[in-house]
Amino acid sequence: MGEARVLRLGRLSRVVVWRAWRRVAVALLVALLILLASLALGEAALSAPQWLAALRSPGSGAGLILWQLRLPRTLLGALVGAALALSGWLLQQVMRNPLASPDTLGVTAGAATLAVGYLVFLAADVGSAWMPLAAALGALLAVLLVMLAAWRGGTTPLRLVLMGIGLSTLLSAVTTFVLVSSPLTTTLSAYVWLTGSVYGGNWSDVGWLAACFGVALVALMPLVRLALLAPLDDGLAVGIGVRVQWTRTLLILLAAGLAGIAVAWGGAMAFVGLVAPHVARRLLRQPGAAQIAMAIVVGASMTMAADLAGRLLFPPLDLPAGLFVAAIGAPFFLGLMMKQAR
Amino acid sequence: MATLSANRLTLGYQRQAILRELSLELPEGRISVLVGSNGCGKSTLLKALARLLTPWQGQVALEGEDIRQRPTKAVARTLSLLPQHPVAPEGISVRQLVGLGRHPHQSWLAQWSEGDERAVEQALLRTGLDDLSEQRVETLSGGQRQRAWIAMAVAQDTPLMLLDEPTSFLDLTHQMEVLELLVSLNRDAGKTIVMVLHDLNLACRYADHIVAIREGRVHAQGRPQAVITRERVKEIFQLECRVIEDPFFHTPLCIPFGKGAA
Amino acid sequence: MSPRTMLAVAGLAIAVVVSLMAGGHWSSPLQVWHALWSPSPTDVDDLLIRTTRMTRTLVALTVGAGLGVAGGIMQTLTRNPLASPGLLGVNAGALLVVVCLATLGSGLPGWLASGGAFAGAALAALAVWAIAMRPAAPSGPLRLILAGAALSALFHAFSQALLVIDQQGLDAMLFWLAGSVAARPLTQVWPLMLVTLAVLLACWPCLRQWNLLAAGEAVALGAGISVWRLQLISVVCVVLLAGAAVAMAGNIVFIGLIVPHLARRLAGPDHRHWLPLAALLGAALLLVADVMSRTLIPPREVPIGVMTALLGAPVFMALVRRQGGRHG
Repeated sequence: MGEARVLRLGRLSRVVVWRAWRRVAVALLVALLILLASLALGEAALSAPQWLAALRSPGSGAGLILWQLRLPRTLLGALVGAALALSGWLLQQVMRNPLASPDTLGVTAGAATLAVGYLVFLAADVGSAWMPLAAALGALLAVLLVMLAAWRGGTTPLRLVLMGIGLSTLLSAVTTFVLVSSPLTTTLSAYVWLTGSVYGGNWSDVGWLAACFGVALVALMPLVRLALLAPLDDGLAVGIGVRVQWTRTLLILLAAGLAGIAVAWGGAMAFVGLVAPHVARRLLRQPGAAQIAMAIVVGASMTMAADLAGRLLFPPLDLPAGLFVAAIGAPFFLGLMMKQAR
Repeated sequence: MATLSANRLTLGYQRQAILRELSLELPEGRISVLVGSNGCGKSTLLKALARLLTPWQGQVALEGEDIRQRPTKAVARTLSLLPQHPVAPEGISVRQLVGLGRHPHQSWLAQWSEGDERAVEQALLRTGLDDLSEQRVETLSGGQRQRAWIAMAVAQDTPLMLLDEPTSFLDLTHQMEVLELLVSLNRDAGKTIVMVLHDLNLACRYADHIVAIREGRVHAQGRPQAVITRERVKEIFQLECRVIEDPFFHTPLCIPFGKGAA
Repeated sequence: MSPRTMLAVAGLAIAVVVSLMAGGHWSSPLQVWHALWSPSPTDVDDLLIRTTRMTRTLVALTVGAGLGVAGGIMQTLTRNPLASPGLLGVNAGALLVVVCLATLGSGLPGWLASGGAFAGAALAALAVWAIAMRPAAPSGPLRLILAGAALSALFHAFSQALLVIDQQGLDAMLFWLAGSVAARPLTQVWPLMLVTLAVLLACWPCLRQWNLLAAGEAVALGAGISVWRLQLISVVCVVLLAGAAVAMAGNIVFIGLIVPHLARRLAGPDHRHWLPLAALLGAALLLVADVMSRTLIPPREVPIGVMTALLGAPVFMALVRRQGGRHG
């Protein structure tokens, strides 16, 4: 265990792998750099002194751009990525399979169905403010349905995944039907949402998402130990005194909640949840709290970088971050599959 | 010390009952071996004893109390289990695997106490894995891997150990190695051991108490000499055989015959 | 012919007749007979039956049969009961190519879109094959399915992304996503139909060999079969069948997954019995779905891809519940 240290203080005891946390710190530094770059770069180019001045006076024109446009949007992206990555990490543990992701359990499909339904049927009357709620609700409902369908005196990862895929296909069909029968403009805005974008994120969005994410993190604290044991066979886990079904249900609900809120504010950025945990595992082989932290940081960096790329690469266009998440994720994912197939 | 017993246990899969009103009391501080032909329900019984399966009727009692009424973590401090084909999480080292056995003794506050560390150290020594402790589990040979799993159960530090075919897929040398290890755990540490074994002769050699299962019921139980006779083996396995005394260990030795012989 | 096969043929015949009758307004069986054998050039009903309904019936028949057989071959090849063109990302791959084509140039002729979808499906099937569909992957059914799901998600993500950049493809995208057996004139789809038919016939000599392959590569090898060649032929069959089906009718899910199960349940595990039955059942099921899609909410239609999902998902989930079993 290399540089593992044990901290003991009365009854309190912890194993801390310093090297792992050092790597997390480095990753965090990189994330901060991306954040700064995201603040510095954009359509309105600012020189370094201008930028510093703007940073100090939030009231000025340039200050407004920084404080009211770029910062909340970047933070929103970071939070969305962090939540998706954490959700993906949890699900890959629980499903005992590195290919599991929030998509697999119908989270994204459920969120998409209700969000698109809201967009088509309700947005004209009540405005689009409640769309995150609809999406989060859809995500949670879908996962509950999947769990219910897979429950037969308990669930198994295989049954959960299959039910998730079945329900996803069904829900996508419903979404498609709604889209086919709605006007083209609505369809298009629905697609932008489906691709995933943090365009126009404001402070209230950031506040809400941060609060939800914070609650989820606190809820995760006592569960980390159990999440680390989740890859064990049911028999082994029961043998060492884990309440398998109870733990699995709790962890899945937590993961679904995380993905739900992320999708609610950031749209369906499918690949963060799949890829970020892999990158984290690549950087830190040993499962543990540090790996979770790493997944969160990597997820946040990925979405921030994707959002930045979307703003910078094709200047007049402000492309949705989800596009670049897919563009980064695809080669990585294909490489992974090739490696696994061997 | 901890007693384990089954009381009129009925259970099965889907709608088919595997065990029918099975009652059994396992002697404390001894090695009990469950034997029987394929599909007779011996593995199912072991799983039920380890609370992996919920009985349809009847109950499993641990220290006289229904095992399902007690918190599963408390049970795990009294009874450890090694399932048939355990799969280790990827990339885990031997020491980490053995450390998993400490889970029932840990809490959110105390995640790695000195007691945990001592127990893991001792389990590694006892199973002769102290040199391999930093190796990854998947790099171990079959026999070493099985010892690692047993070490995990040892680290759990329970008076009762249940093992489902701990010698399957091992060659004769490693079968012996594993069984010798279990015997030493029984003799030196006073652990009650309950296991399923396929090899009747090894079962006879190492068991203090043999439980023969047939069609979901206890067909016979007792000392190997009392249970393993020509007639009994025929009833349990539908197999003609001769039973002689092992010239070295003086336990029953079963010599199977083909259908035409005997 | 066994009684079951005859029953299936009879069911298919009835489905064909009903499909010719069904629509905005229903024609009588007599009218169908009339339109088929002695059409009058002035009768609107006759014209309707002989053109629109006939085309979509034929398309549904070929697509259903093709998907049923393609799914069956995939399941044998991977020895995974959940393999199918839809779940493994073949449909999503075809979709991506079509959207790409639509984004590149707007005024593409129909045959090019058709051919594009065909090529896309074929490419995707090859990709899935290379990555995930390794025969007899040792790691169980879950990996293959997850890989397929992830691959689908990947293709979809790119399709959506392209669409957001350039909205040219929106119509095409929706068409392929929703699936349709009606939108193409016969003049455009007949080459694809021919491909399907030819492949279906070409499967015939392989049936016995698939029986052995289903028992394991080693068994097939031991029986003197060139396993490698058989696998190659099977993949080519799947690619052609799935590609043609997607090119004709877009994203139609669950037929390729469920039909082989039904067929095996009815006709037993011998490929010589169940695979032909799968073709019949696939055709019949897709026809039924099409009739329902036409009649459920008149005057509008439920897209057939949506219809098969609505019908198929519950069946799939029930299957999983019953036998997706304890072996997690």
